[in-house]
Amino acid sequence: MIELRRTGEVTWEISRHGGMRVPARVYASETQMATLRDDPALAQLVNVAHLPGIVGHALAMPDVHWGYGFPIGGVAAVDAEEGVITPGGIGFDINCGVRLLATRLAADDIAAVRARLADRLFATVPAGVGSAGAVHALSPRDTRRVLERGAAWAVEEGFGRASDLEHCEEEGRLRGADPDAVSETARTRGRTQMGTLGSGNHFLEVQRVDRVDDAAAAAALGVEEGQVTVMVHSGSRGLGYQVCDDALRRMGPAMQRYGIAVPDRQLACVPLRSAEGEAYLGAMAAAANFAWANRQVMAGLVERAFAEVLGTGPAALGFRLVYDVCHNVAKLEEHVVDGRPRRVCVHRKGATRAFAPGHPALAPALRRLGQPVIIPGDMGRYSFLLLGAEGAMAETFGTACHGAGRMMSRAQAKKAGRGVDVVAALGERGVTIRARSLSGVAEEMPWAYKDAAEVVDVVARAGLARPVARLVPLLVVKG
Amino acid sequence: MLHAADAAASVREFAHTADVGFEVEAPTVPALFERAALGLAATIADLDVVVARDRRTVAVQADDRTVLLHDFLHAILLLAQVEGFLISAVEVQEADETAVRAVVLGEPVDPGRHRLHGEVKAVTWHGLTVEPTDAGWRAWVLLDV
Repeated sequence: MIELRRTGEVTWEISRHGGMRVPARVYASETQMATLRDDPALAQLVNVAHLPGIVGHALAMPDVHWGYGFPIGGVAAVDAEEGVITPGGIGFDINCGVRLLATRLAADDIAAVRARLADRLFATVPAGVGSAGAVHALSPRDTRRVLERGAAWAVEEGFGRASDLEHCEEEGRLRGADPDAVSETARTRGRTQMGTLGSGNHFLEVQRVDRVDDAAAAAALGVEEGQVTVMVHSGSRGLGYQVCDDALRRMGPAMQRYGIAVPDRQLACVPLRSAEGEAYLGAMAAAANFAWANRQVMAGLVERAFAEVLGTGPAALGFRLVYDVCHNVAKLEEHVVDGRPRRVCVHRKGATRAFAPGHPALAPALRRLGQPVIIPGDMGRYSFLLLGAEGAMAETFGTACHGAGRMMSRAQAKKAGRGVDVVAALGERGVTIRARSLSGVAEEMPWAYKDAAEVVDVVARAGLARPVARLVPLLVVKG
Repeated sequence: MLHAADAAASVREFAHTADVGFEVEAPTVPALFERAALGLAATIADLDVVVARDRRTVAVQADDRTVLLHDFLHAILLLAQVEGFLISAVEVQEADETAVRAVVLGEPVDPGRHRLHGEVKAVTWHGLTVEPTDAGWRAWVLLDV
């Protein structure tokens, strides 16, 4: 059993022991900690604290749960010169992320066409396994442009608008992308997947803003009670998975050359300043750009589906990107560590950047507000929109949580759903669902997840981000 | 040749919060790899309706058995994801500490007939194990889904 010491209302510390280079800190309420204590996620957090060059604390957000390598909800900042990069701290789905679209529609405007809209969205945005993209297979030239330009490529192809870009983290394009560092196998896996959702916990959701917590901030973000919003959760698809796989395969043997040992092979890592490290950073950025293009394409497809079903045009629909966040990525950033500014590489595995108001990395339109943080909950309850706050800059390298966090294994969730008509159960909660696989839906039912409201509450109490609005699902599309 | 129906009993799925994994035991290394391959295949699709009618060869080389199992399973995952080829039978023809060569039987994905489960993103390295036991060999595999 790992020893935890309570250090604050919602903070707990694991002291340095064994090969840990820094202590670890967990953000959780007392109730959450009661179940988290025995979770393998904490052992994984201890492993993260072993990474060469790690600074400050190894961090776990309140949605933390057992992953592979890093726990999901894990954060590690390593020194940019002396630290390492580990693909296991980013995940296979590089730049898995969430985007939130606002519309000019009220929930009543879609009430009469709800079933038809659900069908149209399900048909327009390819979701599940083996589904080919809504856009043609990417040519080698297209692939290169996607990897270099990210969301901007999709805008040039007619999906969404140029003004969307400043509402994406990194303006939808991570600098330093090196398409030549992306293997042929990775390109092949991504070729037919542009504009596809994927399966598992990925989703497309039409929502209603049911509560505004901060009226001024919501107004500044163009969000108001009763409004229809759309949330898309997806990532870099097969291309990103293969980039991670290729890197881990290469880094395993390379670690010996650099004299690095880690407690879990999934944490294979190399110095940031090494040929392998730089190649991975270039490939990771390219895969992140694929993910941004993918979400931008899907947003364009969603708008088309709404236009078809409602028989109206862009002006009446008023689609606008509130923000697009990535929650599986590593980025070079400057943070204050032990009282002095330091350049670090922040690994966020199932964690969202949450820069506070005034941060220079934020686009001018958002700088005075702070970074929007989008927290999807489960598909039966609610999701949240927050803004990054000062506490995140002081304590978590500008980071907050990324979701509700799973509580049950997929098998347990299916067992809990045995005999339950999941479509009817969601219908009772006012949610219309379209999914390719009903067993997949059972794995993702609300009972499998922690209550996102509790997670958001901890983040708010810790001062990492402040709540702006709560969104409830109306239609859900799953792979 | 090991067929899916005969492998199911030797593959035990274990509980993992976010992902899916299985443990498999076998008297020999070739049998272990065969069972693990079908464990992965069963995570990708329902194998009862995957007809073992077309043939592919999978051959990988690696520095040790653990890496070998990773690469072998990854190759089978790519067959499904890149070629759209589902397998339901496998025969490991050669296996030593650094190389495996197998023949797999299956067919191309038919969305009308096959029931695909959620997408398997990757064969992770977390806890990946190939080790001898009193009765033969054991493997532990966690998939990212």
